[in-house]
Amino acid sequence: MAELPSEIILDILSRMPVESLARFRCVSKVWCQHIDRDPCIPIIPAPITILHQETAHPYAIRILSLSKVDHKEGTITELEVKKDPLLEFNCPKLSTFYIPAVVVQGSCNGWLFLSLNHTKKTNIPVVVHPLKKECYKVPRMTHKQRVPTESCGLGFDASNNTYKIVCVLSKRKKQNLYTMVHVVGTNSWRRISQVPSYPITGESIFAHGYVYWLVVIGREVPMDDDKYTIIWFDVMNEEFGSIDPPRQRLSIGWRDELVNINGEVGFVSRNCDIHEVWVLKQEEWVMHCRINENPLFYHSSIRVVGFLNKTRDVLITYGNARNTVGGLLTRDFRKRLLVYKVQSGVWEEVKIIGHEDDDWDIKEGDRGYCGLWGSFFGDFQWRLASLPIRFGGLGLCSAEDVSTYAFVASRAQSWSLQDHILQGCDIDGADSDYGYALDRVRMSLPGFDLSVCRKVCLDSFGEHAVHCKELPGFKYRHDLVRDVLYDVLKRAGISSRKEAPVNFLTDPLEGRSTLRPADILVFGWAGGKHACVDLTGVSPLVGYGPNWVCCRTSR
Amino acid sequence: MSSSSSSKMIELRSSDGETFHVEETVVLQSETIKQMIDDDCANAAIPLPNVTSMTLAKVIEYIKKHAEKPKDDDDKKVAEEDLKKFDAEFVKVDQESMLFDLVRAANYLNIKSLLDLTCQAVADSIKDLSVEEVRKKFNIQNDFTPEEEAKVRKENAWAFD
Repeated sequence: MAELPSEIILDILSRMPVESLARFRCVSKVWCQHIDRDPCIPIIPAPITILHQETAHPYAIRILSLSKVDHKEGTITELEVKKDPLLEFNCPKLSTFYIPAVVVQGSCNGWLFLSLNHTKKTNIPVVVHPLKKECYKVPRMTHKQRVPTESCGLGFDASNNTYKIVCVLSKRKKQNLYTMVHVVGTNSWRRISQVPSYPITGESIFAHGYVYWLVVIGREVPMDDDKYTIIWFDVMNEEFGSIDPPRQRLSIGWRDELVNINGEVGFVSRNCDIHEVWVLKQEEWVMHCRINENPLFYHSSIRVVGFLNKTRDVLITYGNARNTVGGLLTRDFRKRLLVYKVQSGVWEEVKIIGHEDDDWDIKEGDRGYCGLWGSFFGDFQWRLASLPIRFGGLGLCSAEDVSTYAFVASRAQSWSLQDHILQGCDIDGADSDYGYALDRVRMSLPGFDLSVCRKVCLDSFGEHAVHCKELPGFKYRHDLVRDVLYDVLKRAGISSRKEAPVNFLTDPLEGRSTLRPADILVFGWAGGKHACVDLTGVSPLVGYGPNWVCCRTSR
Repeated sequence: MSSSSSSKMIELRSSDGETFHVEETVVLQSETIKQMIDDDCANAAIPLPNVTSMTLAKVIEYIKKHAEKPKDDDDKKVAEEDLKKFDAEFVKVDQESMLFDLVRAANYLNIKSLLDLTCQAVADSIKDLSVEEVRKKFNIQNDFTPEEEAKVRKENAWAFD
């Protein structure tokens, strides 16, 4: 049997489940390359991702991965820190008084949903793709309304390979809830009719197509004897619902939280000396373990982050809340890892190697640590998500940024203006005045419902800043004026072609384009000659000049 | 100017010399042929040196079915169901080599929906196979040394359970 072309192999591979891909890496070197192709990061057997913010350099945030070091039975568990961070980015320095704090609001298939908190009032929601090393800023809902990150959740819609952020807002003091959804990669939010029964808040957990939040019924601040419920959101069908947690009432001295345990929803309930870990399996809560002896009595920030291995030993992170140094009370933010061996009931300290001891800490309170472990959350998920759109990945995830600058470029046609805008732009994107001005300009124009392209990256004006490569060999850019013209010609029965190659002094059959491809080539327009239409003003925002269409005849 | 009348027939010639007559509207699903027609190269029979007559017959069966247009909305739903059934049956071919031939033909003729369908079928058929079976199926020589293979296997040990 003859071999298939490599792009076909890649197409077939992109349709496979992660487990099969991992197995087929050893089919041949070429297949291994195909699978590892983009981005070229060696496969970590089972990664834990950690967020790392040094106290000495609070503006630099790194996302590192840990991998397990082989160890024989009975020896200390060791984790090795990968030298190169998956992603390193700088927080914009908005205020001299506040050190930015990074809070993990949720994670999903390796993507992180973070909010960068600068002051009490400004937090910037970002979505981070650690393997692709990209940080994507979530747009505002309107130019005035920021995204309330504490009532958001990130989920993955497997039916069309998109990531969605869902946000529940309330009008007038918790009455009248409404829900907004944002598809990562687009630049707008849309309202959906579904609402949850209670407002949501806090970290979201994503598992098997659903986003979960633990909420206290009726109140924002939990009191004794309040009831809990767990709200879920079906990412594909965009519906809400709720299930009961294993422990339904709040009681004195207990703390309960939802955690992500290896891609499953975990419920951890603890007081001073008891730790209970539950896992949701097919809508039933199964108790994984109950830990009576707890060496962490006095540590306030304890968090279950996942299972360490196949025997499902529980991995816990904790930090010394207080430390006395020389008689003075100081705070020590340094975090440590512990593993609880389920079978033997023994606690063991996890040694972390490969990193200088002194500047090593895992950042920020209860939530800053994000643990991902096991096959389902492996690199492959990330790798698949980073494939081009036609292979089921996200492809263009920063089209928003590109399109705004393309707009400025076409509108102002002024390098100095662009330069000015781009200069003040960092992770936060363009400044708010610019965003406001842009909104106003756009609002003054008629809106179009342009569902010409089914790609998510199409902006509300029906344009791509980047061309839409649907067909090999064609460069289709969605352009309203040209498309309308083309439709007119087509309906009139006049033969024409979009983005046709145009030749000058070469053999037409050669198929080579020596001139810029014509936007529309009209066959046999005048005296048997073909006519080219070339639109130089490609945006409906700029097409008002007298010379925006120029026609030429060819051949 | 190229004609857009629906009755125009296009002649296709397979690698083993057999000719097929297909309506232009049907054959336009192939981007490759569409481009040839647009470039006025379709006056004589279009030679398809990469496609055998058996495969071509199958491809034509597919594009004919997919060119059928439903009359009204009720009909549309029925037609969609029907098309799904047809697609499911279509990829159930007796010989596995046929499926590969179809993938190649769909790729060469640039029929996106057929390529999607057949690639998915191949993916479904191999996803549960062992490494050795895949090598055999795709006629791939194992170019790893035993040590290298053991290393790669170890990296992904979880996938072999």
